[in-house]
Amino acid sequence: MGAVTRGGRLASDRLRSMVVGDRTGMNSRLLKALRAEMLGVVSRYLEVDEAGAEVRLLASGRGCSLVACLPLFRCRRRVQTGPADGVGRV
Amino acid sequence: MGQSVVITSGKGGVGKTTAAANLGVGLAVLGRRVALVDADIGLRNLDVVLGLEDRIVYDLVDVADGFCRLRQALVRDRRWPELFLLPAAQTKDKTAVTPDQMRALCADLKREFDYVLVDSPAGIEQGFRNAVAGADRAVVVTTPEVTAVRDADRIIGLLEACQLPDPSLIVNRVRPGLVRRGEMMDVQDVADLLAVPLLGVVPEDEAVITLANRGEPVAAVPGSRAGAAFLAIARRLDGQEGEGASQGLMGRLRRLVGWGR
Ligand SMILES: Nc1ncnc2c1ncn2[C@@H]1O[C@H](COP(=O)(O)OP(=O)(O)O)[C@@H](O)[C@H]1O
Ligand SMILES: [Mg+2]
Repeated sequence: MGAVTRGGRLASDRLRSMVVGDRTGMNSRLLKALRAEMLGVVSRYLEVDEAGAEVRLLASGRGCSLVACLPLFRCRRRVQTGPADGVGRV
Repeated sequence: MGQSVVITSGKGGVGKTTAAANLGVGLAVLGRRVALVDADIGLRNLDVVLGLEDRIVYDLVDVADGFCRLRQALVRDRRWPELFLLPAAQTKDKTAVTPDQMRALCADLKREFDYVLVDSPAGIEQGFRNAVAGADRAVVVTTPEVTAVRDADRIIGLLEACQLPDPSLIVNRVRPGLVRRGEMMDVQDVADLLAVPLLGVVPEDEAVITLANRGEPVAAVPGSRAGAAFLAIARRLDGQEGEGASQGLMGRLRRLVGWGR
């Protein structure tokens, strides 16, 4: 058991990302663009740690799920919030 | 009234014809009346795997065109009197029959047989559409390789689009030694990703090739590992092993690949 990934696991991982690409029609360039737009929207409300953010497509059942994990710097909404500042103001 | 099962795959050469022949033998051994239909028009080889190539008079296209009666084209396998083959035409191409003709043919066969197993050509073109046209359910064959599983995923998607959801999966040519060393994909990983029920696992077995040379399907030969696997799959297909089957299967697989549990 070395540090290298075994062929079987490597094959499984590569297969998984190919199948997700086939099912969704997405590729890494589009996913990058989606991630950037999502970060743009979310950062209008919350302070996102952009470097630590993860946006992924995963196979689930016969379909796929978009899974996003966006850690926040501070668990507080931004002072100036949202379009026209009208959304979710408490 | 019997049922029709199409044996299909995305990638070629993964073992559809081998599976069709051996499941046919396995079901005949269980006493079922079985018609094997070679839908790989232009590239027929189910007859060769079964050693019946010299007995062919008419073929599927002759029947579809009304050139002969269905009974005249069926070749009886003398070793298992309940097993019949409807050969593919060798000199025509896939456009020689239509999906409607295949549907009618399968309906006729289901009146006489318990099982109609349709061996599909590779690919996603007309040959595939013909093969699935008359099917009640589908079995997808793959090997545990990236290219084959990726193509299997596409085929499963297409089957859903053809109103044939919930196909079951056969993973063929598994090499327990490689799995044990972590150099081959885990069968359960493959089944999980494809998200379809696992009907069975068939090990890589030289006997498949050496016996095919002689026109003998492995399921007919006692002691071959692949043959035993195909017989077990035939029993499962026939519903003789209930819900416990998958556990039994996983248990066997674990033993096969040497995972202690
Ligand atoms: N379990 C197995 N072990 C060893 N060889 C196999 C096995 N299954 C299939 N083969 C071989 O693989 C080749 C392709 O199989 P075949 O059934 O013709 O595939 P397909 O019909 O999907 O094109 C054949 O030479 C066959 O003998
Ligand atoms: Mg074939």
